[in-house]
Parts: sequence; structure tokens; C-alpha cells
Amino acid sequence: MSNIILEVRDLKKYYDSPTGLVKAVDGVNLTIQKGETVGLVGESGCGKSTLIKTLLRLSDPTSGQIFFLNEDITHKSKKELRKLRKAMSLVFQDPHASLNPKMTVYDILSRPLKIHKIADKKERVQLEILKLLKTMGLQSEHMIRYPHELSGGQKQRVGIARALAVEPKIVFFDEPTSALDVSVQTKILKLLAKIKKERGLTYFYISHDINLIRLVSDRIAVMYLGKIVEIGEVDTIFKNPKHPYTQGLFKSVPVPNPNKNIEEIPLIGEVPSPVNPPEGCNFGPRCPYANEKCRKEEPNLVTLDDGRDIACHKYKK
Amino acid sequence: MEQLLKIEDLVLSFQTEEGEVEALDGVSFSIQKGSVHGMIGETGCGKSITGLAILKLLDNNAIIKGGKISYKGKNLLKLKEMEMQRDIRGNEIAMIFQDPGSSLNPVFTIQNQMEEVLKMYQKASKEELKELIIGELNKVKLPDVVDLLKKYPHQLSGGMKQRVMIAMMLACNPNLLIADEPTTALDVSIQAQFLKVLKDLKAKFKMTILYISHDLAVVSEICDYVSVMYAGRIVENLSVEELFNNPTHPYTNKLVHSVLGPETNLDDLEEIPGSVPRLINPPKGCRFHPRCDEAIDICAKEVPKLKEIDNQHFVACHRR
Repeated sequence: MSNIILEVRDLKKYYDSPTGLVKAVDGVNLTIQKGETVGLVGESGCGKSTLIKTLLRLSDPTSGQIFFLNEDITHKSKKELRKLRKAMSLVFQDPHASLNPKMTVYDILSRPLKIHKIADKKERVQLEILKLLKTMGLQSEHMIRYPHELSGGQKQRVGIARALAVEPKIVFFDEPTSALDVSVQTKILKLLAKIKKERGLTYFYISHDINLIRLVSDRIAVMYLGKIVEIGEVDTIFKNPKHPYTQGLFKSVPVPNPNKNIEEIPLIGEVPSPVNPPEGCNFGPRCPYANEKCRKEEPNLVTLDDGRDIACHKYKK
Repeated sequence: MEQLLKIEDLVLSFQTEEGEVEALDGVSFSIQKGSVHGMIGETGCGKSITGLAILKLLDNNAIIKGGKISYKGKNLLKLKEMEMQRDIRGNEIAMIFQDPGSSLNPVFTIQNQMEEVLKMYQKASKEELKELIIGELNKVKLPDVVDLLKKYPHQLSGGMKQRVMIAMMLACNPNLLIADEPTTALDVSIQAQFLKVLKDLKAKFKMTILYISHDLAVVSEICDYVSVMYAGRIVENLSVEELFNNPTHPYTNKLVHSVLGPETNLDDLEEIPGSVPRLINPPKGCRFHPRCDEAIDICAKEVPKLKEIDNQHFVACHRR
């Protein structure tokens, strides 16, 4: 029996736009094992959020395949997807925007329970909600509150409770703490780690916060302009990043230590538009090592001896 | 070192339907000429309000109840609106904001918007103005400046817009720049580029900067001296080295230990119990006492005053 929970093969998602075809996700391959936490980092516009949406079939892929527990879900109908919605859930970035302001916490949490028939009788629903609130470190009195009566951290706890209500197998997190203050972030991260251990869940995090991804993940993937450029065990990648983009990205992160300042600018220029991505390697125009080959030929992901996959002409198997 | 700005005991509140919000309560600090002074704290602690109060850009429901903001010997709080506009804003003290997209006018080109600013301070022909603008844009290391002049804000990336804001501000040649979370909307690689521009400006033009941020890692990159705010009060004023090596106030200590660094483990991270108080009826005494592990009786009764515990290191805590 394989241990793979989610597998993606050559996934592409293109959008039409007035200026041309936007290649938001352009050939992503990824496997996620049961029980692990995979983190995906990249800067705005690299396709992180589109990838999650496509993986969850919230938008239809242009091409490629998605397997969930060995079942091809790429072309499942809306009705067939219902079952899937229960197994894969999502926590959004902005807890202020992702909770309906006209619904109480009770209403918000009872909906997934009713839709997926986890509980139907009123007493059962209430019981389940109380259990969820307790797991999230909230009080029973929060049940009758509206989102505007909660703090940012409490709102995000409700958002997480909603995702957990359906008893998912894998939870996707789209920048779950970026709208929160650091002291609140700590509490949420610790809580998520605890829940994962207790329930044996699989997590998929996306974030632009590189230190956060390092902290929570077992494996990390680095994305640039619709493609994964490097992926591997978190220690392998952080101790010795090999892709020139990963190296530049990591060096751009300020260290909370006044004696360790960034001296040279680690990455020059800006991310090009995904409408007309550069020929050859996407990162070529910003890469300090780029040569003739990089400008012509697109590098494929190759596996190195330390187990990482990397898409760069500098590295050969 | 010479003091450029000194704030003493600033008290400010907002009138709201729910009651009076005590947004600032006895804020005191001073900024040395040529230094980058950081202002840190979590959402709602009053750091942006302090920045806006210096320029008197607050909403109508704000009431300044006391204190003094001295800039070059003048008390800004005593100046009339017309005097603020003519003598202070732009040419003496300038400010840039978190979201550069909403600070630029979407229907004018970069050239139009830069001209408007320059015309207020310089008499020059259209050609001369263009030269000046190009000069300012070059200072912030923007590429293809001549092309850029004809562009509209939506055609620029976030990092470029923020640099245009800096160029606009430089054109007025101010002595003090207030930067309110200028990199929060930017990606890390662009943030690194932007911080380099600011550091160069500081080195080249000896610019004084009040840098407001919630990101302690960025603060460690750029600041010399830091004020830590909590619930409308300053709890600690100290050098950036002391902030990381010797954070003394219990709140500062917890805050510094909740920042993610490149070697942090989840277990090392400090939690602060409870949440930030509402400023309508804030806690009596020290505003941090309900969340503090070290609180004693006096903390709930008396407001701790800032006292100097080391050279240029001030703490407001009864236990220190």
C-alpha cells in the first residue's frame, strides 16, 4: 500500500488575459506523503495560490493530472468532488475576510457539519462545535459571537476549526499567520503542530515567510514563475541551498540580529511577467551564473545524491 | 549628538461612539540627527498614530490632550495648520506609507506627480524640472528612468512605486523622514533592495529616519535606536544592539523571543498569554500587567515611569 496522499503530474494552469496567456502554474510535479508537512515558498505572483486552488479543484487545470489517494481526481464532476471536499480542506490567509460577518461562530461551524452530514441533530451539532472550540483553545461562549467581536487570532482559530470540522485527511494553509502579530502567530503555530500530531494529519503550507516555512515543514519546495525550481528535505535545502534563486531568496531574508546585516543585494531586478516568461530558464535574466545554454534550453528537475530535486543547468545527476 | 525631534509626554485620544480611546498615553522619546530611530510594537499599539501626530495629519476626532513635540526648537503642536503646511510638511518632515499603491494618484503619470511636488518648492522651467526629476529617480536606483516618466502607477511594481515615493520625498529635501511600514507590502528580495536604497541615502545624505515597523528583523537591519510601544505607551527606549542582547521590559523580552529567525525552533518561541487590551478603558497601572508573569500589586495601581537603567537605555517597569 503506497503512502502517497497526493500526487501531481505535470500540472498546468493557464489564464487568458488581455495582454496574453498567463502561465500561472507551468508544469508542476509534486508528491505528498501521508503525515508529512510540505511547505511551498515563493514571492508574490509565483503561482503558489493558483497551485493550491488547482490542487483542490477549485479551478480546473489546463493540463496534467492530480491523484488523491491513488484516485485520479483531475476530471471529477462537481457532484463527485463533494466527497473530496470533506477530505481536503483549506485555511485562508485573511481571517477578517474569510469569515461571513453576518454569521455567528455557531453558524459558521455548523455549516460544514450539516453539509457533509457529520452531525444533523441540533444537540449533536452543538456538541461537535463545542469539541472544535475546545481543540482550538476557544471558550463555549464564543459560539454566539460574530466575527467582528473576535480578535484576529481568535478569528483565525475559527477559520482553522471550520477546516477541521469535516475531519479532513490533508489541510492546506494559505499564509495562515501573515495577517497576525508575531505573539499571536506563535500560539497558532504551536496549536497547529499539536493538532497534527494528535490527528495524524498531513499539512501543505504556502507562505512567503521563509523562516516560518522552515519551522513547520518536513520538506520544502521553492517556486519561481509557475515552476518548482528546488524541492527536498528542509535541512538539506536550508543548510545548503543550491538553486541560484533559492540562494538569493534565502539571503534576502533579514536576520533578527543587528550584527548580521545584508551587505550586497542578493537578488537583482524583479520577477518577470508570467505572460511572456523568458526563454530557456525562467530565472536566467536575474541569474549571476546564466550562460548560453540557460538562455536557450529549459532545465528539467533532476534528483541529486542528497535526495533533492533541482531545475538548473549547473547541476547534473 | 544633536537632537532633531523630541516628544515629551504626548497624550492623545479619539472620540468614538463607544467612548474615548486612549490611543497615546505619555509617549516620550527623542530622535538624534542622522540616526534611524525604530518604532516597534504590535497592531494597534499607537506607532502609526505617533507618526501621524508629528505631522498633525490626524482625523478630526483626535484630541491632543497634552505634551510637546519639539522640532528644531519649535513646538509643532502650537503651529497653525497653514504654518504646518508651509513650513513643516514635505520640506522639513516627510512621510511615506505602507501601501505605495494607494499613495500615488492612479490617473496621473509619474512625471506629472513628481512635477506637482517639485513645483511647490522650486521655480524651474518644464525642461529643468524634468532634469531634476530624472536626478531624483536616479538617486533611488530606478532603472530606465526616462521611460518611467511616462508610466502610470499601475504599470509599476510595488517596489518601484515605493521608490518613486522616496524620490518624491527626496525632491523636497526634508530633514526627517517618517517611514510607516514601507516594506510590509513588498516581497523579501524587493525589500532587501529597498532597504539598501534607504541605507545608502542615510550614509550619503545623513538623513534622519523614524522607521515604524512590526518586523524586528527589518528593524535590526536598518535602525540604530528603538522605541518599543505597547497599548499606547512606550515601555522601553534602547539601542538596537540592546534590543536583541538585553531586552529588559517583560513585553520587549517576549516580543524579541517570538520573532522567527533562521535557527529558531518551535519550542524556543515565547507565547504572550491573553491578547492586547482595548484602549477604551485600558488596564489601570501598567497596561501590560494582566499579561505579565512578573506582575506584583503595584503594577495594577501605579503607572511605571521611564527610567534610565543604563546609558541611553530607558525602561518603564516596576520590577526593573
